[in-house]
Amino acid sequence: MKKLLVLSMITLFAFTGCKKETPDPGTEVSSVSTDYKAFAVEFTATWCPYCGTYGFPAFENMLENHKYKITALSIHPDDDIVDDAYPAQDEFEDFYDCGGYPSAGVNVSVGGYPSDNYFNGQINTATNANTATKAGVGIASSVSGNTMTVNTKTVFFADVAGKINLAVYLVEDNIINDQNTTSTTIIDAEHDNVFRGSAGNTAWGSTITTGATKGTKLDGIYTIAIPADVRNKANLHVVAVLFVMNPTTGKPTAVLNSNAL
Amino acid sequence: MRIKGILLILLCCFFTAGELSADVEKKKRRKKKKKKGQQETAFHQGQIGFQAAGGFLLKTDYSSTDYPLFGTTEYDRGFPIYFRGEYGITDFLSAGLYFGMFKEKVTITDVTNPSNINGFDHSFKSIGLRAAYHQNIGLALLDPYAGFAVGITTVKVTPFGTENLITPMEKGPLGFSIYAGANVCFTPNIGVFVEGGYSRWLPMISAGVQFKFL
Repeated sequence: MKKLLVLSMITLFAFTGCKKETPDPGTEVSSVSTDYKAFAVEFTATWCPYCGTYGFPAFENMLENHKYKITALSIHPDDDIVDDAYPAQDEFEDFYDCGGYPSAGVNVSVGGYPSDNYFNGQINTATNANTATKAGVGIASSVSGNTMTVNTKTVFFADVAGKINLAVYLVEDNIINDQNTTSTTIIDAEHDNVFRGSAGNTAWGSTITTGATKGTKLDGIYTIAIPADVRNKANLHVVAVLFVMNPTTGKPTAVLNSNAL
Repeated sequence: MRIKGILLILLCCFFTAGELSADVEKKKRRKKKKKKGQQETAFHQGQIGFQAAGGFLLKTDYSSTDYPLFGTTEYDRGFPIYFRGEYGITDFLSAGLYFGMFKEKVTITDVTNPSNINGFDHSFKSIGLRAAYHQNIGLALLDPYAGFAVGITTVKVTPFGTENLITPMEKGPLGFSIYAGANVCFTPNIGVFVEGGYSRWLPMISAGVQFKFL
């Protein structure tokens, strides 16, 4: 009977062992969302007074009010936070028709002036138009030295036609820096989602497919050099955006979905 | 890892059977009750047996997909249960009835949006007839067998959530399975059994207790 007991214990241990498969958060993707997230951008600077009065509070409100429904980039030119504008900045400013700071855009809607009403309206419009999510993208990332490695998994929930690009951006949260306004200076303002570069140094990423059928799953691995002006690597996160591209102009015509982790 | 576990169970079963058999043989020799020339068998004509078991699922139609891709996955999985009764038609053939069922609920919570919850309820029920061939190996305690079952079977997957991530499924009404196992008798009336069964919809290993009469 002792042998029976011992063998039973061994068997039980063998089955218990089957359940101990812990995914590696750095390489195994578990964040493919079936929900739609709109992609918002804000052009701003710490020295810009109207940014502090209008753009900064509107952007922070948007991050809080729509935190599960958006991904966002706060794109700065040279200022206290960014040493030199990142290579993709010109592409963003050109596409979103940024004539001055502050300025904003949501998905492929361009030329907006950041306010609560602007962001609320644009984000609601974008999410209402995409209640049946056609694709999702999941992210897993790890930092080694000054390199961020990003594993992505794109899953198509419906047939999708056209050229699809995946863009991977690096952003930094919780940057404490003064922000100028039209009347005063906000001391130690917290700046979130500050754009810190992109995979391939492009605004619209790279093409992952030209049409996909429902159920298609595509893997990707991207690296982004962490720039020297990053304040704290622990506050970095990744934004990934699936764009439907115009093959002629090379610019996006729609945002299929986006995600952040 | 599961294969390793299954092999260990089978090894455990046969090894234990051998040990128990040897012990009982020794006792019998000591008591000198064994009549010369009479062969002991663990299964014989006219025998009536009842078994109740729990199971270990090898897979389900929905367990091999990559749900962890879509968030935190919780499996609220009921223990598969299984009842059967059998009658010895001859010294090597049995026939009987069985009933088995299994339920699970799989919930997938989006790690990037906690309010985006998807998942499905999965149920399996089967009731029907089974027949088995019993191999007499000359041991009073071990009754290896193999057979097939046919029954009314319902497999149903009902998705829930905000997105159509899961494809609904309903299959039936007729299901077949093949199985092999061994009854191990501790006493002439009480024992345990281990059985491996394969059906398209719910292959599993089950283990349980058996009571037999006559």
